[in-house]
Amino acid sequence: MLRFMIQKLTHKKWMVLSLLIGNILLIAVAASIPMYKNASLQRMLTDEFQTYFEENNVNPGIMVLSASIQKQYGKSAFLKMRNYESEILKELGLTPAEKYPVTEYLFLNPSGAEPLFKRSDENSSRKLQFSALTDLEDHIEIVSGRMYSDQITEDGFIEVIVSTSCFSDQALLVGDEFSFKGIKDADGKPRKVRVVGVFQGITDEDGYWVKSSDYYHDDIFVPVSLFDSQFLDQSGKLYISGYFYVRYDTQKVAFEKSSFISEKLSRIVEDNDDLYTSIQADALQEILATYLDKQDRINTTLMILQVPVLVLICAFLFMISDQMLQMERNEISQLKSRGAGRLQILLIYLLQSLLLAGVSLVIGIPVGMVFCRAIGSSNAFLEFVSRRNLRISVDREVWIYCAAAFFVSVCMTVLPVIGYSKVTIVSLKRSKSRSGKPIWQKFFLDFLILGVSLYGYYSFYRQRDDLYAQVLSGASLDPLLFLSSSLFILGAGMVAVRLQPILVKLLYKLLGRILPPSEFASFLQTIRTGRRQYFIMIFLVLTVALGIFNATVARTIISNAERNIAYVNGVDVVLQEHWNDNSAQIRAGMAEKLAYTEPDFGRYESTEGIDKLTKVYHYEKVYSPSIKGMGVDANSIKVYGINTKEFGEMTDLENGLLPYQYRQYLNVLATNQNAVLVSSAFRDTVGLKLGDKLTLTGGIDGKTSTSFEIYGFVDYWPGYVPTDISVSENGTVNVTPNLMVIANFGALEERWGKVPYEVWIKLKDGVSADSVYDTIVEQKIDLDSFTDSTREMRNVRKDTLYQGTNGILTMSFIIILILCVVGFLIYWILSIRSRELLFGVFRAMGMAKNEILRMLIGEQLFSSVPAILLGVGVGWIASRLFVPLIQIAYASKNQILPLKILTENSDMMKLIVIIALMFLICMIILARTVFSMKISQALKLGED
Amino acid sequence: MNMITAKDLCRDFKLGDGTTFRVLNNIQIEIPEKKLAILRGPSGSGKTTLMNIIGALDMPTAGTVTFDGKNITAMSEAKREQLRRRDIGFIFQSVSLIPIMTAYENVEFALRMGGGKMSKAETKARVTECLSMVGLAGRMNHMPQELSGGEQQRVAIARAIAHRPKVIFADEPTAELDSLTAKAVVQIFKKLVEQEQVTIIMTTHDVGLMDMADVVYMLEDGEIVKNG
Repeated sequence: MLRFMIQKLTHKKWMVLSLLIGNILLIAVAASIPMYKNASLQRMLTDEFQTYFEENNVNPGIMVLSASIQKQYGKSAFLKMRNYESEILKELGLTPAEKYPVTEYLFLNPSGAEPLFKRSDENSSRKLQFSALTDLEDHIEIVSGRMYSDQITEDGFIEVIVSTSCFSDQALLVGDEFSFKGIKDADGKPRKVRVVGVFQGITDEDGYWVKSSDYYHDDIFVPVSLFDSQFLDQSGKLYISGYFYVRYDTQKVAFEKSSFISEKLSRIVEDNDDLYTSIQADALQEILATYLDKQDRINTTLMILQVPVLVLICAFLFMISDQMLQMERNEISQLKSRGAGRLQILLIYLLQSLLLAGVSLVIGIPVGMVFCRAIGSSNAFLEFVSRRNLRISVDREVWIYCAAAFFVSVCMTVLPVIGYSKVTIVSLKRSKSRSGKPIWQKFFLDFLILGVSLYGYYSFYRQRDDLYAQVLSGASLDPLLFLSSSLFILGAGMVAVRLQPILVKLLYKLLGRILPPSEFASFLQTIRTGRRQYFIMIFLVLTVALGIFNATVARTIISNAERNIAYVNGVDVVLQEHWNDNSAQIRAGMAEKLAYTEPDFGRYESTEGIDKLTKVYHYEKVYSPSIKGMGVDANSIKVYGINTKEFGEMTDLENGLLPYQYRQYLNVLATNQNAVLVSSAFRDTVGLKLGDKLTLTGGIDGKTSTSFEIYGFVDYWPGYVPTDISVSENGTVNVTPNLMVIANFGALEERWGKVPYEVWIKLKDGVSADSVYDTIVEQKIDLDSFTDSTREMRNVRKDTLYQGTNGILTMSFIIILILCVVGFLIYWILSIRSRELLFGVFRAMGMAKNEILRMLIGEQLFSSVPAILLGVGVGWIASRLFVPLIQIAYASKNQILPLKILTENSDMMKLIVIIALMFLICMIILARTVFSMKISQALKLGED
Repeated sequence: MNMITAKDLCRDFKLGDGTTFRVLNNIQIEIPEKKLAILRGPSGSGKTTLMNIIGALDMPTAGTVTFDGKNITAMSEAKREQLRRRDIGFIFQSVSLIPIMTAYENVEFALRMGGGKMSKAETKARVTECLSMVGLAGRMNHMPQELSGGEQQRVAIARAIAHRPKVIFADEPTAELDSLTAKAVVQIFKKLVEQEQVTIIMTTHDVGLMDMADVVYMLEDGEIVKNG
């Protein structure tokens, strides 16, 4: 039996090879799902730490445990917390950092220090506190004097060292001696200290200093051991506090533990929050919360994106094994006639598919890792960039997925056998003379699939607003939506394939009589053996359609996100400088009215890297008496004052957002100092019309009422968010319209006075906001705020959700393409093999090899060109129907602009080139086969 | 007049181990036109090889073949294709119909291949005529797999004759048929020679058919041993 199987396998090496490819792809895709999901979630979590550090300039990898000893309560709380420093990470399942896993900062609450020898120029007593810092000795350099010793000197002094800031703040000298009345030694005498050295912290990159050494400006440091023995051990009377800095390795925070850590941490923080102890881990809590907020959505979205390709691979396996079985019908029927039972036949095939699946498992997992890396490095559809690698691991989850894929693969290849194992020689002969329509056409399965998918589309379309709300409140999109889009493509593709014979027949009717024999034969071949071609044609249609669909989804989602970010940001950088005012004088009674001093604006104009800039007055919460009592908060108007010319030069709006050109609105605004543009949301909530007067109360004192005239309404404006969307705890979405007014800069300044304005900046190409920030800070400009909008834009393509989407859609497409190429080649190779005798006859009848090749190419064109055209149609329709729905999965509150479905020409070009390449390869193989064919040999085949 | 003259024909085949095997050895044969000639001999004697060479399908290792006064062994491949299209019809042992075409289309296809300019009506008339000659006028629109073995072979004959070739080569056309059907096929051949003025050369090892031939050649171990 085994021999029969191996013989069979070597005999049909092409078939086996394509089955193997299908199997490997199945396993690889299945393995890559958890691999990529886990790796990218891990990367996302790790990135959150990095982002936190960049945005807050605080090392998020430190938790601060603190405790204090109060006289009357003893030191149990303190000791408990001190013990806890080594336990907390274990409880949370975090890995201690390699460097300084725990450092302690202990101090005695400040008390009066009396100098033993008063210098003439000094204050009498100082507030100093005894402190100790773990490993302080290794991270300082002594700039004056020497290091302390860890023993009390013979004459009863404790040696201390101080930071340079303490040294200068407290006006100390090396050699100064103090006594502390409030702090007594074991014998009840006041403690005496001698300052022996001054240090400066060594600020290296390893993060020892939680606070810089300057922070310790009233600390006199003693060694930790001395602090313990002299103060802590005999406390009970002293106020001692400790900060225990616990550092953990942020790189090793495992994403799968994140919800556990988050919950546990909240509990720990709560349990230890009392008068004497507290635990601070705000950074970790915030990071985990941000992460967990996104996790589910990404998790599901990434997984369901893979579903279509998995279904397709299964279909491919099923079809190939079905084809293979068709070729083996003779052998099966012979086996049957020789007395083999159905079970035996099934067993042979089971063994065969186990063997194939086993080999695929070995190859598939590494291939899956390659896929995973490819997905991780995608930048846009069919576009890869080198990016830092994902940490891919083969864990239990991967094995579970592989096992499932293994099982499915075996099923897909064995299931068709059940039908064939019934075949006997007699029934085979009978069935050979029949060739009807494929089952799916007979039972209209294609229309059924299409109907189901359209029903899915319809029901999702009806509840798209609810879906949007669900997604905003953190839910993931219904996987069924993705499934219906795949079903649509499949169903529409199958229906479309029905059209192909009609198209070809039509062409035949037109041209049939005048065609040369080779083309005539191609025509008939295409028309009469259509059934065998359906398989490959469906794959072609699906490849093209899914190619277009995937490309459109990927492009649209990214561009939509980027467009909205660009819109909401308005410009690259918005900064506000700190303005000096005369409030001090007012307090002193030297002035009555508040007035600001405008800083020199010219400094920005000369700043390197800035392309264009403009001043913008930006008032929030302006009051308008005109709309009082009209059902809206009359105190909630945003007012912008702009210089129309400069503003128009550096901002833009997409065409089609406003009924007229964006610049025209600016021109209209510029015609009258009193003119204002008003947001449509404003108009609609209170019912305004053109020419209405609108009184706004604002200005430097917030009380100046000015009347403006409405010159226009705008739905969109650079940076303007028409409605605020918030999601409440119970998942309801609240929409509040934003009331916005755009006025002339000059008018506002004249009427409302000179107040601090914002500077809107457009950067030169390739200049980073960071470098501009640095330049500005170097000029000693004091900034109140600096908003860099470019970071968000840069991060879109790195975002796990978008990046994964791009990657998975690209990989799916490539896989489908591989299946298509394999299927295409296998189909044609088989088709040629089975027709060698026929070609011999053609050649005998005087047909040249060229003509035979032309005939084959003709056949390819007749079957493929319509399939490709139909695929384009199906892909286009599917994109228009489903992309707006799928987009919801990526919804954010910033979704403001109308969705633009984007199919890039360059993607279509790539698609065409790849498919053309596939044809070319196929034709080369065809040509080689045809030209190496010998007539006499081909004809002899028929004589056996 | 002779339709085909072969002189000093040799044909060697290379074997897998590098040695050559001589299938035809110094064949001299002259086949008169408008006759039914039978080439007989046991299997392996080289009948098919000889037929392929004089039918311009294969090239000899040595020797010349003159077909209707033209030396076909000196012709280019394209010229020989042309010759096969116009002047030669083939009938093979196993069914060689184009499976995707009806009986009518199979015959029509030969006309297309022959390249003669014919109107739609003329084509139809000729195809019908040929199919009537083999007694299949009533089954013109059947697909090959819907016909019996004998019927299929008769369609193949109709196809071979359709473009009015000068010579029809039939390689074991009766091997798969029962003796009665086989006789009927050879009867058709005889009729064709008369009606269509065509030369027919067929191979067979069926001794029962020999007396129906005008000429018989006996091939044994790659050599013609008996003429007539």
